[in-house]
Amino acid sequence: MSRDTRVISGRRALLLGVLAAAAVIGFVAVQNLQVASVYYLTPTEAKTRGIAAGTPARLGGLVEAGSLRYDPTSRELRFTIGDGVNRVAVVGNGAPPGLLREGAGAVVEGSFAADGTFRATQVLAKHDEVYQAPAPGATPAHRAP
Amino acid sequence: MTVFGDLGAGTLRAALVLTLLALGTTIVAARRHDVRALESSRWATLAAFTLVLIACAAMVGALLTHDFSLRYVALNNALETPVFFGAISLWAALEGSILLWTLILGGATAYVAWRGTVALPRLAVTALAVMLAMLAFFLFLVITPAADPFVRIPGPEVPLNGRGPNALLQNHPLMALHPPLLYLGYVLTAVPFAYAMAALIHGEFGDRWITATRRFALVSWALLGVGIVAGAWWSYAVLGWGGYWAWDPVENAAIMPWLASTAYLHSVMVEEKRRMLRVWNVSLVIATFALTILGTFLTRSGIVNSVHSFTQSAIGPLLLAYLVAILVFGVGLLLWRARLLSDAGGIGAPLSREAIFLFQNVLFVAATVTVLLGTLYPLIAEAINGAQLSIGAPYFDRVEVPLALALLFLMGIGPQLPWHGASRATLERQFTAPLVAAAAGAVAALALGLQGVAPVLTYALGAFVAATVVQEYARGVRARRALHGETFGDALRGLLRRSGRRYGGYIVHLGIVLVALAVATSQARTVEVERTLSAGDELVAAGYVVRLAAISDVHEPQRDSVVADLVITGNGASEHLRPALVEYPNTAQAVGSPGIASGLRDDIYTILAAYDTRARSWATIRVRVIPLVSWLWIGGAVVGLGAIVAALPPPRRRWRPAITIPVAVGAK
Repeated sequence: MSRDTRVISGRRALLLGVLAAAAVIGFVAVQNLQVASVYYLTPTEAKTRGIAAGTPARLGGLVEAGSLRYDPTSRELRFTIGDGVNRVAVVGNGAPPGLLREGAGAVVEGSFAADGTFRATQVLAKHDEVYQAPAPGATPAHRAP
Repeated sequence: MTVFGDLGAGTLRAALVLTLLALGTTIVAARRHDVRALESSRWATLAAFTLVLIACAAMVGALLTHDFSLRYVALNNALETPVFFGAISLWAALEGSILLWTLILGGATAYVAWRGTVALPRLAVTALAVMLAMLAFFLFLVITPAADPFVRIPGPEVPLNGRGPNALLQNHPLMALHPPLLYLGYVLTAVPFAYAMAALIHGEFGDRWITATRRFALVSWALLGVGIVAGAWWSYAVLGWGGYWAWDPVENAAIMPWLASTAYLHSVMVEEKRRMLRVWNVSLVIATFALTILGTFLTRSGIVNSVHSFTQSAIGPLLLAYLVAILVFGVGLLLWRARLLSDAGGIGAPLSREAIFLFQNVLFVAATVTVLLGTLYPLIAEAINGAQLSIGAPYFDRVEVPLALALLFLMGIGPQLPWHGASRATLERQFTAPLVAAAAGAVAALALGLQGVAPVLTYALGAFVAATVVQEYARGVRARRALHGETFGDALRGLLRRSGRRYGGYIVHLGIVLVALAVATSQARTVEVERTLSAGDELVAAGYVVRLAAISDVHEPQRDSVVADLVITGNGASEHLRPALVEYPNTAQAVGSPGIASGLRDDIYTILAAYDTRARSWATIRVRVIPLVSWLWIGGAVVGLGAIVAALPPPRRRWRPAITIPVAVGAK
């Protein structure tokens, strides 16, 4: 069996390969940015912007005192999330995450139902290095001008 | 009681003065080749480092003696805090973390001053000046109110007890490991950066700056990698969500410099062997270093919204200014010198090692850029149309997973191809066995019940890479045995010691394969069951029987816990787990403390999700059976081990001069 020991060459193929890879990655990234972007709102913003029912959104705020209800048999979780001015009723399924507490920060992912309640598919408690409650109605620091 | 505060504040100010003095004498030394000026910079640098060390010791002393007249201690320590967590509270919050950062940077600067300037005067002296300028910035930072760890509380307001460290930070010993590793990795990227800047300033583009910083680049990369895995492990063991990675901005901030640094470690080999990609390599060094600062800026300024909300402070603008200065300085010098950085020839053969490294670099840079894009996109979108968006994990999963698989593929191919190009015969010799292994890997994945393209491909590619590594080791050992007549063990040791960079690199590749298999399997095959149980009830998850034996209250000085006693049987397991919800008096939130039975096959991860607050009659228990997740941590350790093998200097050749020169002749 004679073996081919010539070096396989092709500079143009190499260059095209690199460019094609970069183009495909760029395309996939931009496509997915649009698919995976979710509105991030405070209850006040949700009210003023009028987010349509069913639009995926993330809602951040404080779990209001006395609002947390968890039914162990149906495992339905209800609480209201507020920013001191407005509040939104949240309904989720499953036990609250261990960090979720009344008066503490939380982020819920899901969408608004037609009746104005927020159907959470995911409830995240904010784990703070040092817990600081924001001022009533305050804009979150990451969005301060 | 303020002795520690005075000591810390005083030493930091003195260290800044000494650093500025050293910077001045170093610039004189660099310009006039003045050895005496260099000598004084060395001592001043060492003294500055020692002073920062004393400041850190003062902070630890203040934490251990509960000196609540210091704001940092009052916020991060309490009388009940155990000694261990008190000591590591040095990095429990922003100010202490920046102090630790300054200490590490001071250590690296002192190292460059004493060891670096011996071998390579001109380049190293200029690099030392760059390091000293950066150290001066950080020392300035720790004495400004934005990040001063020694801020006092006025006498009458000193609290009797402090708030104690954040509950999450005193819940697990891994906290002792993860932040320092990450900071070490972050800070040590400054050394290659400083040398690259020195090379640009002098227009000196041999391999010298690369040789001088090779170990620093490798060690900082390894520490970052191991630090990231330790962080994932901490998140897994502490946060109680059963996952280890969420594409949170804080995590992205850590992985971006690691990705850029991985690209550099490979492309630098092309420069060493083929004298190519010079501008590219300097760019990667600048990018890696800038990304460490960007990451710190993003996570510490509160500009991106993260589930980890760190303390927000005025440090943001200062870090941003520092980042801009670094980019202007680095990119400016690069543009100024780019003309001199010509490459010797180009890459001709697509099936050569340099071409695969090029592709690998394109993919790693693409991974870095896409992670950066996903992290910053909410800011960009808001700037353009005012919409408040957040980018979820699906973006990162869909973009990064294919990139990771492509990189796994290249990891199998690259080391098997010769420089300059491969022939058909070479391809046959190198890839026959690995391709058979890849097929076997795919079959194994299907037999294990894995579904979906990505997990099966991960198994196939993992087996492919593992086979290439085994093949390389087998050939290396065989060659040494034939050449030197060594035993198998001696031959293996010889490979690792004499060609540590290459064979250590292969160990790193094996570690990455383990990480990839662990991620693919745990993501694809986790079983989760959540039930509300009364004492004595059972639930079944993936063949494991979980029985709730009791719900009890546990009181400790620094915390109160509600604990679920779980007995696990089935699948040959016999475990007793105690997931808990822990309350710290000074924190508003309860902390879930999961009960985990780790195994080489499955982890049984149990969470006390909710309980009857009045009668303790029921508890909602969430059980996740996560296969092979332990191999993620093991893989991280293997990566670290491989990096150690690669970084160890090869043994000095025993040198026996043939002629002895009489030393005394001509001596003064």
